[in-house]
Amino acid sequence: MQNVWFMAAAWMGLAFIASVVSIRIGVSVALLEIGAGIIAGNFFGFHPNEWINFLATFGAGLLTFLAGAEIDPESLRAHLKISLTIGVVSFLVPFLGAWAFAYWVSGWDYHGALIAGIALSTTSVAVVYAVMVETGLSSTDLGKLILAVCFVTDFGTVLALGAFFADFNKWMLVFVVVLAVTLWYLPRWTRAVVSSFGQSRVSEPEIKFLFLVLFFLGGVATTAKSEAVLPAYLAGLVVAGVFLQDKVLVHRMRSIAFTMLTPFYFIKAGLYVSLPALATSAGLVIMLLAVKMAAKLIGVWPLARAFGLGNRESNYTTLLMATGLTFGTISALFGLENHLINQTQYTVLVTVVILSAVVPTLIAQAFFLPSHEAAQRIRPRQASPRAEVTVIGGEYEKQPKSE
Amino acid sequence: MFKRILLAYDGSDASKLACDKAAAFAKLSGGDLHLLAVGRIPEYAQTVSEVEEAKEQAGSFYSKITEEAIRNLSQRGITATSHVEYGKPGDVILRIAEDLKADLVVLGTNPHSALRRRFLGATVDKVVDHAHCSVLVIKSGN
Repeated sequence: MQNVWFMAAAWMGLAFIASVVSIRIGVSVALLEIGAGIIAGNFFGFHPNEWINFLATFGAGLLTFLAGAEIDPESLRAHLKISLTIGVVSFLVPFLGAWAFAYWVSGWDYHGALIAGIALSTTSVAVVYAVMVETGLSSTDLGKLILAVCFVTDFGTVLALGAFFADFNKWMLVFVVVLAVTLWYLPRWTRAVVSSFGQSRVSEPEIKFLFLVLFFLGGVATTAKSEAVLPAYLAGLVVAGVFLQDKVLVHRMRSIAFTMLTPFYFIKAGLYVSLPALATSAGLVIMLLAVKMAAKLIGVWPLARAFGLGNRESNYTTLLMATGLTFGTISALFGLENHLINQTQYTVLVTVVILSAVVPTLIAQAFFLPSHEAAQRIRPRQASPRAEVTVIGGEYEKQPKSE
Repeated sequence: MFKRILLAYDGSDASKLACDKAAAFAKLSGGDLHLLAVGRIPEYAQTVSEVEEAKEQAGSFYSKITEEAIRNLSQRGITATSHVEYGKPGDVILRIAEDLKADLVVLGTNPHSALRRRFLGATVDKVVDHAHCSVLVIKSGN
């Protein structure tokens, strides 16, 4: 199909269908967009072109930026020691385990095995957060601790993706210096732009400023043969405090991302999943999923117990840490696009990543859901109360959460 | 008689009918009436933003309809407390019923196709099967 308008209509049609179905069945639109991509790629011959690739790449970057910006800096500070310890181990053990399995057992080459290690080391903050909200644990100390650990794990994944495949030459040095300077000043610049222009400008200068930063850092990163998601995640982390205070800015960026960018990314991610390859590699998928879950168990569970979590809470924490979705998909697609893995390996990794969002969550919720009392007892350091909304009587009022 | 009644309320005709019945029970027994609205959040989300967005939209919608229900009940001399929670409706109703130590859960049922019930499950089925207390199901369309 050469007509750019018809092509755009076809892709947006897939995104629209995924959106409608997601609302009806209550499953993430991103997962359904991947599913739409799988169907479109395997049965209708869809393939991306240059402008779709750009929208998809920027979508992944913006997704990563928003992921970094979603951190609650206070929660991370309140649980710093425990979240750093468990988070680093939660990344490292599955990374090494999956890499070793892919390299020595499955016979993947060195770079392919690295991609497998990175893709399967992740933890899905969003899946964990949704589970927390559903079970009422998001405002408990255990919930905040688990989310803080997830951020640290994902930071490890993003760092590995940015560092392992980069060329360590002068451009890397330039990238590191430019990134350090930008990240140092970015919170200040962002606050200045927001306060100077306010929230009522139709030209959206604050968003354009952030896009400028992301485009520029992405360009510097790719020049250094690194990955654009690394600076995007770090940029999101440093402006997280600004975003906490400016929800309107978050909403607008989210709208742009989910309407016009991330659908192209997720549909593209699904396009490269080969159903015939999946059928022949089903055994490997199951084994890699088992490796990921076992590695998380070996790494996370003993530490969770060492830090004073009970058996049930440790099991629950470990299983949630075994989930993975966004960064796993990003890592796998990075590997495919840079010819570090082939389509069969990509199919295997994406399938494992998707299954890792579902299987551990189901087990955790079915068998190891902690009680609220137990979840509130985890207090390495006191976190500040966060506002909760409870509708009482006929008034809608925000109440601080009682300790 | 029932001293703490939890009504699952989503503003539908079935839940309004259930609300009337629950209010009648509350008036008769002199018990507390709690209205619970459950906003769906996406499962297996890719970003926290997706979950937050769904929460905000559901919160805004359900807070309005529960306010309206509370006002209507208040005009009938019944005081009720409303709650807006998020997640899978069946699971959340069961959790809140336990947290509140409710002794009766009241919910309305909308007619769904057999296909929808088989694949998506019915909230009513889940609550009836797993609730720790009595459950009153009000069928609409009779």
